[in-house]
Amino acid sequence: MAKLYNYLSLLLIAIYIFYINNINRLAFFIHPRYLALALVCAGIIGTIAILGIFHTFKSNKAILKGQKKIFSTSFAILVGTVLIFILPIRSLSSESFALRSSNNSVNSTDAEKEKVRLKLKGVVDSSTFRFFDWVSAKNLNENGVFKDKKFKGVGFITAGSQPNTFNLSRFIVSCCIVDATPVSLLVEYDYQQKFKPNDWVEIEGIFMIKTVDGKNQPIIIPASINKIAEPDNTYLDRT
Amino acid sequence: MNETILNKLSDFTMIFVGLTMEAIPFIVIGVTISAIIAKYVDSTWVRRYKSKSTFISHIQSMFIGLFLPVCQCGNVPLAKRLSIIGFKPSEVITFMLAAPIFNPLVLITTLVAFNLDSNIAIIRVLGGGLIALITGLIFSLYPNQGEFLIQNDSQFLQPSKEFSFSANLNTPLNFSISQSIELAHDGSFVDNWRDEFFNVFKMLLIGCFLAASFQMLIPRSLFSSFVNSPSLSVIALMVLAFVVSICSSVDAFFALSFVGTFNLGSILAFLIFGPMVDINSLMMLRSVFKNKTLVTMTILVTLMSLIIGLAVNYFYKLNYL
Repeated sequence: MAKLYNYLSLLLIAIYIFYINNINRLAFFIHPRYLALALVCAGIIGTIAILGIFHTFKSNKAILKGQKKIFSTSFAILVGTVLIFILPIRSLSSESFALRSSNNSVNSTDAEKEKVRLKLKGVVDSSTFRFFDWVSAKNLNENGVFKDKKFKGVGFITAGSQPNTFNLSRFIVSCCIVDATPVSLLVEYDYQQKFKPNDWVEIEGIFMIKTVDGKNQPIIIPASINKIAEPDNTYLDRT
Repeated sequence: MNETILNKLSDFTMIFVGLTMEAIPFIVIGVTISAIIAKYVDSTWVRRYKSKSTFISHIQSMFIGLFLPVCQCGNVPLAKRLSIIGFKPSEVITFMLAAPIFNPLVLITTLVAFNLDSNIAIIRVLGGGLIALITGLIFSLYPNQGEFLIQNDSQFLQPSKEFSFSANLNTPLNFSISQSIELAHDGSFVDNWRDEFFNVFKMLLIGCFLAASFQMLIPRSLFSSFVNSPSLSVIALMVLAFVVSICSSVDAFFALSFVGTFNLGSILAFLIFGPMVDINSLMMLRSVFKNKTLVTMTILVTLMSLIIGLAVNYFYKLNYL
């Protein structure tokens, strides 16, 4: 039985990976560039599991001695995987945002800074800019590039330092959820009437330069804020 | 339960599953390569090609990682396999420490992440290689190296006879389609694969649990508070590398987020120390090495990584970019 439990556990792991990919949630754990590799490996695990189950029945040696440890491990994996199947899959919350926060900006290289500077230079309609572009632009330390620029983007709400502000927040992921780094843009809006932390919102507005927490910084003055469902691609891609 | 606790529990689960998901492909690759080696390579092959000189055999072990594209997770089943087919434990330690850094994928991502600045990649490879070599050579001084290993009676420890290489070393290591089909239909291959996978996987789960717990308990700002100290910053990023247990194939992108905040020495210490020693890999290595061996190895790697980080900070230059 221990051997069979092992193979069933393997099969369950493979099914789980395919399942969360099928519901577009695999990218909640790993960077999209690793999806294909994860699926290929899930295929290998599934194949091994099916072959193993086949051989176990064929050789009629399902009950093996001295495999109690493997039995308990695979049983735990079975129970764990079933539990994980039941648990909702969602992106990291404001709790992780707070734990991982430092300056909530991207440490851009010179090349990235130059790219953003060129992108912003002389642009009239900036509503197509990505969230990543704006957080990279924060790194330029040139508030002028933000002034009166249009903003359109989505993110989740984390509390701001003032009651009438909040952070429009996202995580940047290079590899997987482990390296998720928080970034945010400041929004001037008393959100607590209509929204709560972790709500996903879409904002359209304009950047102004205002003094917040004793320093001049870009802040979004929203024209509209709408609550939206959590998107499939919650994490930003640096590359 | 209030919302904060629910959010924390949800984040913990996500990080735990994320860490596991990240590691599974590399374990699958490592276990598959290991199971193939078990079928096709035996000790006579190793005896012929491995140098008799302790120093050169450790250098050979150091470079094996160049040909095996696996990170620290995938290395564990391979380390086990190398010890079975005739590599001494000290050589396996050198392989295990060097491979996650010498892996070609790691070299490429390090170069890409740092805008093709070869200095970072060069220091990473030289530093990592040196630490791996010295650590292995120190372990090689011990006369009874068998004591480093855990005695395991698992089936997979026995190399397959019917498929193993004969003493005729002119036989190339290649697989025909018919051999591959035979391999896939061979019950012992599947059983070996399963045994190896679970041996590593159960330890991986414990490692992921610990790493996820630490990530939910320790705020990152704690590490940032040491940013101005050339010595404490090195220690801070080494501790972070140990805790986050990030895969070596992508850790350069993670390290990039420290550029401009942390000094070069601490970033290099992160890039060198992380792939060699972290919670996840240590847990998995417990299926190969005794705790005493792992403690000694960790101390040696920690001290040498620290020295490299400090040397870069004090003698090279303090700030990068």
